[in-house]
Amino acid sequence: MPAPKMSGRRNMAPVSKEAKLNSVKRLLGYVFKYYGWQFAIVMVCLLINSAAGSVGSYFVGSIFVNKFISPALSLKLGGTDVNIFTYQPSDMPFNFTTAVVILASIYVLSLICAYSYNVLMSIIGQGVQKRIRDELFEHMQSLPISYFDRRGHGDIMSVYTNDIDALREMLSRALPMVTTSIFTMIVCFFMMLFTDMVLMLVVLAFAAIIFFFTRYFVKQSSHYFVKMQIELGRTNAYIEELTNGQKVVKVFNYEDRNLIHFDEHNEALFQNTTKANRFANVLMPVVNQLGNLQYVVIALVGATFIATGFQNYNILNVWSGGTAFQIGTIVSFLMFSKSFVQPIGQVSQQLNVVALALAGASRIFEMTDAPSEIDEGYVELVNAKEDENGNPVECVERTGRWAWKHPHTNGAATTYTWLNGDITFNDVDFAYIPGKTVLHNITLWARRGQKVAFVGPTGAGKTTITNLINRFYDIEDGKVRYDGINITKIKKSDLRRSLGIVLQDTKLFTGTVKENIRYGNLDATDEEVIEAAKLSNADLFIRNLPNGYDTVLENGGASLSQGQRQLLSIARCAVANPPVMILDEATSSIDSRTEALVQAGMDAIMKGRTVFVIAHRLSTIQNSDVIMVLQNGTIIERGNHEQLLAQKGKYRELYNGKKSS
Amino acid sequence: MKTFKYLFKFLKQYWKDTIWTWAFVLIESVAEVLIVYFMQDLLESIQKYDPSTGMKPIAVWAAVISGIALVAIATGIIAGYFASSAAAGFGKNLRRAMFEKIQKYSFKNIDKFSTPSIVTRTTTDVTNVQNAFQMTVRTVLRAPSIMIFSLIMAFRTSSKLAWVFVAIVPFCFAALILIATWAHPIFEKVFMKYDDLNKVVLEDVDGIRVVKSFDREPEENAKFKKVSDFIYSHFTKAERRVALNGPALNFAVFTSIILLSLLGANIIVSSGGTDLDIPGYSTLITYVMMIMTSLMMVSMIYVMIIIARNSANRIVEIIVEEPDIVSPENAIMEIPNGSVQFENVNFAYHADKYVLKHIDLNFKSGETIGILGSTGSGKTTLISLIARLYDVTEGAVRVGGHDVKEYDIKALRNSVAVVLQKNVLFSGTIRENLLWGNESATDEEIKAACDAAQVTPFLERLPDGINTKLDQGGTNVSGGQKQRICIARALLKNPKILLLDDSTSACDTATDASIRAALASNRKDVTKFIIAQRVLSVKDCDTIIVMNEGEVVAQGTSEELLNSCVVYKELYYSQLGGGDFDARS
Repeated sequence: MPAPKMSGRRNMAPVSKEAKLNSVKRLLGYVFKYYGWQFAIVMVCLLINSAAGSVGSYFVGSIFVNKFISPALSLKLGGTDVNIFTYQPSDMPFNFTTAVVILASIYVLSLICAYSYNVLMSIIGQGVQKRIRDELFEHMQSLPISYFDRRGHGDIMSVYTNDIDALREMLSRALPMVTTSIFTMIVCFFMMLFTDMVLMLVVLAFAAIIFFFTRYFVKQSSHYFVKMQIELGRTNAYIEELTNGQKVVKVFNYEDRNLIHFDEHNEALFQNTTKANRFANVLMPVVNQLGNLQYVVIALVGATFIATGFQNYNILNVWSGGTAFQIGTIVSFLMFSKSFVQPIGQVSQQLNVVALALAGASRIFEMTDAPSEIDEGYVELVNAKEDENGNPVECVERTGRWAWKHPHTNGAATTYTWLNGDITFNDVDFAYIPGKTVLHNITLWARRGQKVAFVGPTGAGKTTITNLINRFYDIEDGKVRYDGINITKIKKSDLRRSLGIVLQDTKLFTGTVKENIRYGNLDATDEEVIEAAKLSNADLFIRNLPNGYDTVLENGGASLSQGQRQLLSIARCAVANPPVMILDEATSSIDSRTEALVQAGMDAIMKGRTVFVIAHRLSTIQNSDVIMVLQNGTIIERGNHEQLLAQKGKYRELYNGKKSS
Repeated sequence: MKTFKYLFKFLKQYWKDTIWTWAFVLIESVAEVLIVYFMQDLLESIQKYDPSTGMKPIAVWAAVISGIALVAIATGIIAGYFASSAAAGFGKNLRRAMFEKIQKYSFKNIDKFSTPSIVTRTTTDVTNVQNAFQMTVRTVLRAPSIMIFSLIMAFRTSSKLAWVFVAIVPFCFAALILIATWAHPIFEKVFMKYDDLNKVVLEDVDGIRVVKSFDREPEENAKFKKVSDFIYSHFTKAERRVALNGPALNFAVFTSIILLSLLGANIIVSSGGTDLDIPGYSTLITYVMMIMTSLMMVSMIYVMIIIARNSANRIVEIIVEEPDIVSPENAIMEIPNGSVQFENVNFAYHADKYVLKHIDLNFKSGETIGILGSTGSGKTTLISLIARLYDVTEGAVRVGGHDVKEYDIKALRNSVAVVLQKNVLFSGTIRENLLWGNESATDEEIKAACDAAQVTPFLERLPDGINTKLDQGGTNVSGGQKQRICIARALLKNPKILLLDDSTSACDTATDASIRAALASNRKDVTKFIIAQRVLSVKDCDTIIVMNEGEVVAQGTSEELLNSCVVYKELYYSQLGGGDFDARS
């Protein structure tokens, strides 16, 4: 029985603010740890780049117009002939051409900075993302099976597809944009301080209005967008479900009814989408035109200053009583207002992306923080050869024989035991959820060369027993021993290498047939691979595939029948050549006729090994050395086929019940 | 481009909304440019401030600009209003057109695309195209029109200086498009690699027991890292190219400002403010911003179109695909009886890889036919031809005396009920699922079908009985229960022919027997085809067919076959030595 699955659906539980803040900290941690100097350069470049725009605005109005063009124009209108290119007023340390060249140099610098930070940002963003991605996957490998059972595969997948994606979106797009915007606003703020403080107040006031309007509006419209998203989810779910069942739709002539249901969803989606977007589309025109109205107000205020002779006060001259207000100041401000207000819209658009990414990051970190499988084992599997007394001696070369290397903590010499394949269960209890025992007092032993079968109704605990041998789950009470060693003392990787498992639900990987078989033993030669395939009777159908052993399997071998996949998975296990094999409904999808053909090969594969078999088909288990009948987590009968029939218990009841029906 | 032209046909009734959008966008763009244009007058009136006339001229221009701004707000909102329904409507029509077409697909059409691909196309791809449309429908007109109006106005302000724009705009435009074209293929490659990455994860998560059993964690990590490295290196490469975007645009802006400043100052001063004045200079700089922002939008539209192009192509493929099985003209609407004949039938899914060879069979109405054979022997294919789920490659299949191709497809399938091997239940109550068989079934009919299919015994144990809600795919009932519901659903059609494709494999043998007994007594006139793995399921059939590699190797009653067919004999004795140990009963 598989462990209880909570849900395969996406975990959309809201992420707390602290978790998000914590994610920010950890993300920054990655940046500082691996990209410290790059990040510093980015910050400097960003600052210079954002400054260039505002400095340019300042130059155009306060310097070009106010200091050069206006006075030169007055001179010209006064009758003096001036060459603007060489014109240098007395209060300026350079002439007009030089001023333009200075601005041009600033611009060139800013272009270099812009390119540099874009490139560096992408390296940082992608680099951080890659590190997190790699760490996540690597950590996932170490998580216990129970984690996968609990989370559900769809949920885990969505961390990779949705959450990592959201992170990418934020790191490579939103973050640079938000940072630039904030820097632009800061620099612009200071430039305004240097230009005119009263007009600055006008800009700040408008910025505040736009900010609050945007915030209010985004909040309101998110309500519609949530509705739209829900409807989109429903429609897509409907399409997915019905398309998956399209063949059933056809055989039941359900097409017309299907279209009617579909139209209902589609129309609701249309209505909701239209509504949400209509609402959202109000924002941009309003914000844009608020910007234009801001122009008007700045111009009017400026005009009033000129009309009333109000002074120009900036941070430099405010203590000296200000200077005369000039039209160039208005020109500068028309540009400032744009640089100051535009980022507000941009940032507010990106905030959703950031929030989404932080929630995603929290889910990613939650997974990287999940505790790994505990492996306190210290007994290792080593290559061994025989000494003169027939005892194992560790050696480097591959002898094909293995021994358990058992160091002792009390100072005694390390002992070696031949890898044999004896398994014993001593009074084992097990519970998936503490307190809810699903296996009770399991005691059994299997010697090398024996075939032990488990039968019993679904949920009796057959698969669970085998999951305890390879420590996918740890027992609650009792002892499981492998060659006399408590399996908790054996390193998990070595324990699992010494066990071969063939599951009912065969999983193959994208790759060639050969690679899939070799998955069991990476050192296997082509000959060994083919030999294993022949034993499991897979050789025949493999040769009929378009490219034989080099045929690439896609989508977990979807092009093969379930029976063929099972044959491959048996071959994969055979090539691993483990002393203990677990066959969990390994031939269930192979029809009886083919199974009879496979049987000879299977017998050859099983020879000399300890084999645990779970099957509901009698022919598969009939020749077992011992058959355990399980019910509700307890072994209720044991013995070979004849003994069990003679016992006239459950086994016989099952056996005869079938036969007579 | 042809793809988009084809797709735009599906705007249909929303063409009107699109046209309205554009009309109002046009007004909005004119208004925005006019605001900038009149700003010059406003600034001039400030510059020429004369205490004798006071603030009046200034106030007039301020009022004019504010008025135009209000017009721009109104038209902007209205344009957004129509754009919303146009885009959502476009998406709706596309989705509908695809879904409708899929309903007409034959099994072969479905196989051609594969179900997951059809799902992605109808969901993700449509959303992509709809979003691209939503984002571009306004800008596609707004950006160029603002650019053109700004250019015109720039010439009105200073014909001597406006040529600066004429020189720089094409340069900038070309640069942005080049960068996008240059970087996009890499992005495409990267995004395809993302699929590989997800595949590695999916296979790893799915096969985690295998990975751990064989201690293959390091290899899986290496596999993942290889794809991950590829994504990193290519992504940064692509982004290095895209990183030129901002600088290119800024280069154009900066060059314009420098040129305008140098040349503008000269014109202002040398002409004494007559050819160009300071407000004019300021306005020109504003035009620079407007034009360059529009250019950026154009390049964004360009990128969006390339991104949407793939989705658009995939959508069109679905819509233009021709269903390969359709009802003939003057189709026969009534199936006279349940007799079935195969006349020298050959069948291949793919060119000359025959999976059925020389099938000649003849069954009378009301017969029960068992079909045995190993995996891949052609059992499922054989019965699929009866419901015309696929068309024969050669030969003919007759039902009730007529070639299945002469029947109206729906009429044929109404009389031929198929319980597929890979069967599906849908989210909804059990009752709703049963009604698939017959919308107007009475409670008595439902009860009868449930009794026959052995659904009734477990219905009684469910909390809400027949109104129990099933999860998607019916995952909250056991495999055997699912199969029984599927059989009941098929029975409700009151078919003349019933095809059971390994439909009781997950039921225990006793239930299996009860279902067969019920069918034999209640549905005497129905021709029943039973594909099974178990000999037990077919041994009492009127006739049993044994198939091997696409051919019928033996046919007869169980007794006959025991004498004549070695394969059957082997199966019979290997299986009837004892049934299954699936002891659920």
